[in-house]
Amino acid sequence: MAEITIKNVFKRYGDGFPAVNDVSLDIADGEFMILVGPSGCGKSTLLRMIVGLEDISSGDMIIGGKRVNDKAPRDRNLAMVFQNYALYPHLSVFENIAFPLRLQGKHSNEEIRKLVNDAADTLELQEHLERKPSQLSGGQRQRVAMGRAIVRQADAFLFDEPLSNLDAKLRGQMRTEILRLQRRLGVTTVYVTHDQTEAMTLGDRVAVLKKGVLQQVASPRELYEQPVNLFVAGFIGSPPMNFIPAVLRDGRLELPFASIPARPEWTNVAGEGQLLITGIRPGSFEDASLVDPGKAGRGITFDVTVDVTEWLGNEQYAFVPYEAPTDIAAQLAELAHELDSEQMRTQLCVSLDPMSRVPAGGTATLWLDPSRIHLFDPKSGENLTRGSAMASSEPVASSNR
Amino acid sequence: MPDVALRDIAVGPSRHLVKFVEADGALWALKELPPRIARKEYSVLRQLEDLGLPAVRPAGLVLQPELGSAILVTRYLDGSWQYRRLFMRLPPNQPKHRARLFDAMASLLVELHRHGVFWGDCSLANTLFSRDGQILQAWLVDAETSEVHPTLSDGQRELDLQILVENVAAGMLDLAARLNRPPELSDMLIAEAQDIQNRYQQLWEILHTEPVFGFADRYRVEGTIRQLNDLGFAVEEVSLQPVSASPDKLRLNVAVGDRRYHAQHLRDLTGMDVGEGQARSLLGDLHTYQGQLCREAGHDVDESTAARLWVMEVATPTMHQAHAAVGYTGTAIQAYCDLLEVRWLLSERAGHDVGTDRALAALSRDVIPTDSAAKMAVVEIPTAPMPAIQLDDP
Repeated sequence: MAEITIKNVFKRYGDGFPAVNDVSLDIADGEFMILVGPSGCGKSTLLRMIVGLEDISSGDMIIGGKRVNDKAPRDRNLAMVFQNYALYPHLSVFENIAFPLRLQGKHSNEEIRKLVNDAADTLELQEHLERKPSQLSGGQRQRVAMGRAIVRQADAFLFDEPLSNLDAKLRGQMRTEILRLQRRLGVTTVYVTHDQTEAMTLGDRVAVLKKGVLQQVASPRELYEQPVNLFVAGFIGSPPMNFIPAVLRDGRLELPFASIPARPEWTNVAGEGQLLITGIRPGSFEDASLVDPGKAGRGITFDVTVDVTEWLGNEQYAFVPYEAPTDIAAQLAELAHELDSEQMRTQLCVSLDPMSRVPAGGTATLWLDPSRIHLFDPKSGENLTRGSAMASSEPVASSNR
Repeated sequence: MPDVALRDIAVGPSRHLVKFVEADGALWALKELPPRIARKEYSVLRQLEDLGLPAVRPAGLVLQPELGSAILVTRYLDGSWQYRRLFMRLPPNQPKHRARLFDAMASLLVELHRHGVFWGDCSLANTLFSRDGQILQAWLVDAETSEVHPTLSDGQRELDLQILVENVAAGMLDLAARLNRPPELSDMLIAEAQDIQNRYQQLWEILHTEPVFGFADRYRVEGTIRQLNDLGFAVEEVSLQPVSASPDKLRLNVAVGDRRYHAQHLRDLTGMDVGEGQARSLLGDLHTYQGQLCREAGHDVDESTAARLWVMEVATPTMHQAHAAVGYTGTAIQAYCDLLEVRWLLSERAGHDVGTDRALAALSRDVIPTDSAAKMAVVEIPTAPMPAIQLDDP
């Protein structure tokens, strides 16, 4: 077990380009840390620097209190999980788990038996140790592969996009297995992914990176509810947060489809006539006719023309196009590019109760709780209302915590 | 995709199912995988092709957006086979054959690494082998986890090597279990797999050493070049830099080229296009013949004259005899290399030159030493049609 401390770490390539740019991060003992971001954000490079696959240009990498910058990968006592998860069909489950230990040559047969048995207990594979992999279910086979990492008794587990080449069903199963394992063993874990669902469901904390720079490190809930900037706000959450141009004028926030009385936390951070980008999660809207009367008074209502609706049984989305000033539209397109997103940014996505009968092509009356609006500075992208936008009761993508 | 027959070909366990198709007179390997991974693997294989590295050649990428998947198409490597095929056709416990296999893997990894390629999942199942004289050539087959960098860090190389050793050990243990070999073999297999690290390290050091020597010892440049050439590496550039600390010392820096030194030389002499391992055997035969010509003529016969005569008088006719002796399996060149090896082994055993005819007879009756490289011709015997094929049968 060990904590991992990353101090002002840089990775510069030959052309001077910083793939990792002054990243500092403390990963606590036993913590599940996710590194997430679009491709090219530096997350894999950072993981490789932890493992020892990439030389560190400057800064300190400290694992379990020891600086490891110059240590070879094998001397760091870390385990890359699922690096190779091929199972060997003619070897028993026991041998499939034991062979890395046999290779190390450090353990007696007795010790190997104990380590494998302990791992099998953790993974609920005890009854299957003498079987062949072909006699196991899909989930059990994945646990065998994890067993191989467990018996190494590593100080930390590292995962580099382990699920990216699996189909959706298997990906879901594996995600659950990984989470269960990490909770049970309490091993410090660093997990790289480009998938925000994996990030939200697995991590104790999530570090969001963009172009080598750390944007925010926080719990999934905090990232979702209190993003520091447009980038984090747009990256975390599915469907993504709506970004809508707005102006504060005469004590009201003027949106393309609604005018809302200004709240003090808005006028405190933005001046009269200032162009802003508002961020509103699809789930902050409701069909006005279905709002719980107890909270209806907290919000405002307004009419929109719905372009299309998507009904998915357990959820429903309505899409509402709007006009944006050209400079804001260009900036939102740029943001979509940075986020690797193909989302069209000049339409509003609204999550509605599946019971809602909002007609496509027709007019709908929507309800919105203004306390859940974020205001961003269009130039810096900074969230001007961070800390004041209400931490809401809206559920974060399912979490086992 | 045109309607073509699918062929079952023995392959190892794989993350993604590989199917083989015969079309346009050639065999193609098709692998279905998610588009993101398929694009990445295709791009890596293209880069390996550009670098001239031993890997399967990509032929195309089929994107199927409606199915959310993609198919990577690669050319089937003619004359290549999986390690299982060799060991399932040989008597139990063949350390010399294993050593040839592991040498080939160590060489392949060194070749990839010195060109900046991190394999990520080097295993016996992800490697194909082909015969090349008395050695084996290993080919990278699966590049799903591979990355091409300008150069690799020591950490990347070390991890790749560690993965290789683990995978090879497990692959051999698995095969031993499949063939019901005694468990006592395990320790030997593990030790041999671990020794691949030493083979790799030795080769890497020879290729990357930068010896420092005094100005008067410049002859050592020649020694270094010869050592590289002997191993089959061409030397592209040699530079001597004064060592700043001590001006009378020089540091030798060698830019190492392709591993085709003997192959290139044989091609220059004869026009024959063969593998490096085959060229080494053939050049040995050519030089013996040149010596014989010199003795008979009573004066020097130059190499290119000897080469022309050797092709007409020796190599071409004997090559056909050798190919006939092995029932025309494999290539004629390889059959000739096998003949040369068998003749040498039998002569050494007999204490005198046994001659070509006896070697041909031994080859045709397959009474050759079990651990000879020639014995690996067992892989060339075609597999008979089977009603059903198990995943791991040859």
